[in-house]
Amino acid sequence: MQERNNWDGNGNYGQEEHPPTELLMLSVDGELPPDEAARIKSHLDACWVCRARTAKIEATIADFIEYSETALAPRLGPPPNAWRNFEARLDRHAGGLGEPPLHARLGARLREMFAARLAFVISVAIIAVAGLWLSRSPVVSASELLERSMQAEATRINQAPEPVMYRKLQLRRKSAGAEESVTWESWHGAKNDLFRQRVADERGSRFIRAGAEPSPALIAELERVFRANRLDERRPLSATSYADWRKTARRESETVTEIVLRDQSRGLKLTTVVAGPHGVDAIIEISLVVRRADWHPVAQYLKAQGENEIREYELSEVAYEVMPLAALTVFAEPAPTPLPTVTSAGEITRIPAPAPTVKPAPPEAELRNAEVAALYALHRMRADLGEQIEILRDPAGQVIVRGLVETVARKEQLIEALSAIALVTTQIQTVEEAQRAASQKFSASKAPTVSAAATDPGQAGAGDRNTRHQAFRAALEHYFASSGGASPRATGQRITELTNRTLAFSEAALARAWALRRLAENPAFNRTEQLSPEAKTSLVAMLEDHRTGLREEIRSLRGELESCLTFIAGGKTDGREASSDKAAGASSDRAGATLAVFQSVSRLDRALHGIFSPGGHSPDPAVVARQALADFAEIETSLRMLESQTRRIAADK
Amino acid sequence: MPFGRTRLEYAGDAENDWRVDEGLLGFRQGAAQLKERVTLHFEQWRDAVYRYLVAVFGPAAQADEITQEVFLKLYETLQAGQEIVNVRAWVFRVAHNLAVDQLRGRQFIAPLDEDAWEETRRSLRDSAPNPEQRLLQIEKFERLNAAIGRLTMIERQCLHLRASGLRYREVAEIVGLSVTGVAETLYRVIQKLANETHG
Repeated sequence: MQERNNWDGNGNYGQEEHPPTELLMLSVDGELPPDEAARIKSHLDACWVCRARTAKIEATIADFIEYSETALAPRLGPPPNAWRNFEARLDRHAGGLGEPPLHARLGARLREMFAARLAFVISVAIIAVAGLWLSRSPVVSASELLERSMQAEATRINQAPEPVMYRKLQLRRKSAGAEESVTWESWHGAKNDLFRQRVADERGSRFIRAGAEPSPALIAELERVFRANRLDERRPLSATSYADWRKTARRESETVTEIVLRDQSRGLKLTTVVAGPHGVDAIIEISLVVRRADWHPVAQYLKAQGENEIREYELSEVAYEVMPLAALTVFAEPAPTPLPTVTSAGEITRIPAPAPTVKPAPPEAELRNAEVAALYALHRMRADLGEQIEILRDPAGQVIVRGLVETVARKEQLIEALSAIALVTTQIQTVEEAQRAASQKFSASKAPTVSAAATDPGQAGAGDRNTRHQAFRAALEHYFASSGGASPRATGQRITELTNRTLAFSEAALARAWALRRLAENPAFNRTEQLSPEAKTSLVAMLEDHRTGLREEIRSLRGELESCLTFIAGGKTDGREASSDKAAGASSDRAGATLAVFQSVSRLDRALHGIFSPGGHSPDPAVVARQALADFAEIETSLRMLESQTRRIAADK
Repeated sequence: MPFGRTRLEYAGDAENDWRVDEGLLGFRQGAAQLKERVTLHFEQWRDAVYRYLVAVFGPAAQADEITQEVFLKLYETLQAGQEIVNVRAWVFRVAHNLAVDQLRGRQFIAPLDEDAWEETRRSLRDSAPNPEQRLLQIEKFERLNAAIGRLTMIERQCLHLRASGLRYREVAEIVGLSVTGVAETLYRVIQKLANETHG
């Protein structure tokens, strides 16, 4: 497989120039970014040489699979006992894990201390009481914890006219063995943009004004981490901010645990671990601690990726109060600094206010236009269809385009496309660069070893394998047999082909739906009246492009599947009417229409995976087929709504 | 057939919150449901994990043991309140790490040893319809078997993980290479196999 390599790395190849075989290999495996994949496909359409090389890769893969299935698989399983003892082992294992760890620890401690039978009996009694007590307060889910905390915050805010949240935090940072700390106070208008902050460190206590007074390095650094991860730096212990971040974070795992707070009251700690790779300032792990009694957040812990180290931050609440704006002078102008240290929110009204905020950052409207221009440039490079690129703001007001790409060539392409846009800077890394930076974390994240357990003699058999998937498979076979009367082998081939096409269309549709969702989540989307005509035109062009692209993918998918799904569903369904109503209800506002599109496409994708993939969890083929048909109808309805909405945006003056 | 495909980039979306919350309700809300869930995952992935372990690391008895351990570990992890978004990648990663720890230093020769290969050859001879095709197929498989036997450990791991349907990024996390490293390794593997079968 030797070839001439005249590829210049930028996709500039003609009749006599060919992409390297590695690139063809990535193309065959579907691992290229969309634009690169499109260029390769276009080259293959024109180039017999590369088609032959691709065919050779495909043929080698086919040979290996044939060898694997024909020669290797019969030798590789199932194991001698055919998994018969697993269920018994799982039962025993589950039984062994039944005791809450707290009980076990307490019991062991007491036994150690007293080493007497009586003490042991007492410890058992205590454990039983503790068990009863704990069992009355089950651990909640992450969503429920955040939801309750948000509700509690909203209730507190609504009790004051023009509420202002005052918060005093102790911020600590650990990094490379060193520890720093600073006291950080903030006043934040809950229903407006009012914001003041004050810090106390070794230089004394002082107000911080944007552009006039430099923040202590520690706070500036934390603000940068918050912004880089789309957390609201003005609301560091906010469940709302956490919940917003969580929606888009690539979560690797999440836990909610009960803990005892410093004042001996009970708390709940939500910890989210983010999947790697992690660029600089990316959050690796974040926790929010709330008081169990009133769901109020009292602490936050963060682990963020540094240049060559992992930084840990701890924010502990010292004081918190919601008070009416009229009771405060802190927002009055002008204000002298520095100011005496205060230790509680009750003294706020005596604080002379800081000087008016100086605004060195460019006007907000210009920044929004720059953001849309960056979005549009990425859109033209098809970087909004699944690549890990995001747009953020830095403390100086610059628009940052940050992300991870697969190749150096792709990185250079994106940087070039964004280079001409004012107020935009790029922080794009290749995956390899990011992994190099995060290598420490990667080496620490290997899964732990489990000690070997005893093997159990043969027990009752495990359940039928992939029963649910087999039900769909049987339904599909029935459909093809009834429509074409083909041989079982030909039917199998047709199911395979249908599966390939379906999952490919569904994946492409989902990428479009995600692009629409990300557009709708951008603040510019709901404030188009503040955009320049050019930015608005770009926004409309992106919406239109994704809407029509999604419509085409959905139509192709529907063309492939409608008759088959109708057959499996047992005839025509009434999903259209019911779904249309649902879509209409979800689409009362601008972002709602886009979200409705995303939700219905996402639901359809899951339903199709339920049908065509053994990983599906759907119980009944007919039910899932009916749901999928209803989803098609709903997507069409929500796309029509999105179309009218896009027209309204275009027509708005 | 591309059954079981995953999209890592979509793993953390709000739409899929149910996957996370379902697990966080945890043990106190029903060990029976958790066991059922783990059993489903076991039935879904055990054969693929077992085949990977035997094909790459060798001894069937230990592969059986490690495969079961992986799913007990899965139960333990979910019971502790942790949630795993991409179960397939997780079970392969844990299986891989256990195998590396437990079978360290073992010299791998080839996926099929001489006895096993002779039996395979006999069964292929008996099953193929056309004698000429049969002969060609056996020869091709012999060349592939020898070529796979000459692959390095990391090459074999990448090859079998990719053949199990894992994407480059998932393979990279399991074997501890960069994504680019996986791409280069797989390219090298395909070149070696192609040289053997297609000249």
